[in-house]
Amino acid sequence: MHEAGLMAEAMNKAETLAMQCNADAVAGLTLRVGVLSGVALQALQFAFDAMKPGTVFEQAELRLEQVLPRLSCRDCGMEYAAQERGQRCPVCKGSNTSLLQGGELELAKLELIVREDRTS
Amino acid sequence: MTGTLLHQTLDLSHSLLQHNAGSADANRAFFLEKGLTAISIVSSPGAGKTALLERTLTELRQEIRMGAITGDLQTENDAERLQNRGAPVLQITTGEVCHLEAEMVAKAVEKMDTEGLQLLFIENVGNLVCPAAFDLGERSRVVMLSITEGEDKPLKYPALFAQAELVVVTKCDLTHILDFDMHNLLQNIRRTAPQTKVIMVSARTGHGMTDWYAWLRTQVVPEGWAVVQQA
Repeated sequence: MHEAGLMAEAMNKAETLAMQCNADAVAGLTLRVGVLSGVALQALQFAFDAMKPGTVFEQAELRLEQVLPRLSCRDCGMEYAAQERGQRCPVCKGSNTSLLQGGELELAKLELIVREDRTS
Repeated sequence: MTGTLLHQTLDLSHSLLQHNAGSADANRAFFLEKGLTAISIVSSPGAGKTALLERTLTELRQEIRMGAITGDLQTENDAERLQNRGAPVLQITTGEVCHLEAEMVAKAVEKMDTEGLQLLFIENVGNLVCPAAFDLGERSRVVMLSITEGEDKPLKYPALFAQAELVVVTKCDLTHILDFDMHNLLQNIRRTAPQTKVIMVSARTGHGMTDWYAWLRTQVVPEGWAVVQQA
């Protein structure tokens, strides 16, 4: 259950950005979560719902974008969709692979509500 | 004065682990400067991290100057077990946190006398899930599993096994009692972590400990190396 700490990190960063933009509130925030990041989406949602009352996120919607894994084969250069780490290359059957995507854990988008006279 | 409310969208790519990554980099720089090799050990609870360290701190003490940081939710039991072996030992009690983070390691190291140390063991909280997300700034990550946990552990927790520089299979003295299929386990490790080295030990009988020590020797920074770097 390390999702609470990660959600807090996302909310801290988002709040800092919201203040820098003189925003009144946050309408939405989007996290990009790789399937292989080891993070459970429900746990992120749970943490967000638990922490948002009384903050700039009170009315905000959390969107969680899943990123499917892709690997590249270091032997033949093939890039392919995979279900798991270390899945063998479909072309040369090699196991010397690296993860191209699917391990992400990012704050990807922030939608702010700003008064017109405060926009810079 | 009230203006019209506008929606403003920021497109970002901010890693949620950035804060931890910064602390981990600072740890790495610190260890490098000291010529100190940090090795983290991750496993499920009860796999035998502390037992392996007990034996290691005792048997290698004449040869390598070692220290240990142990992480647990509660109690100082692990640190107490490792005391009186000539090595500085520090317990981190994380409270509710199920893994170590780089900043916790930095704070522990600050409190510790690391002068002259060559090898620092960082025993993570027993957990095969959450530690995978947190770089501690260690040189190598050792993943440990005991044969009582079953052959399919690497398939169930691939993220962590994929990070292992070395997999240590423990409690190997129980192989015949458990009817354990070692070949199947090795295949499963290969599937998740094709490049990883594997050694098999029993901290109780001492079986395989020489392989573990041989690997540790490859990790230690040679004497005088840090000084050469500065010159």
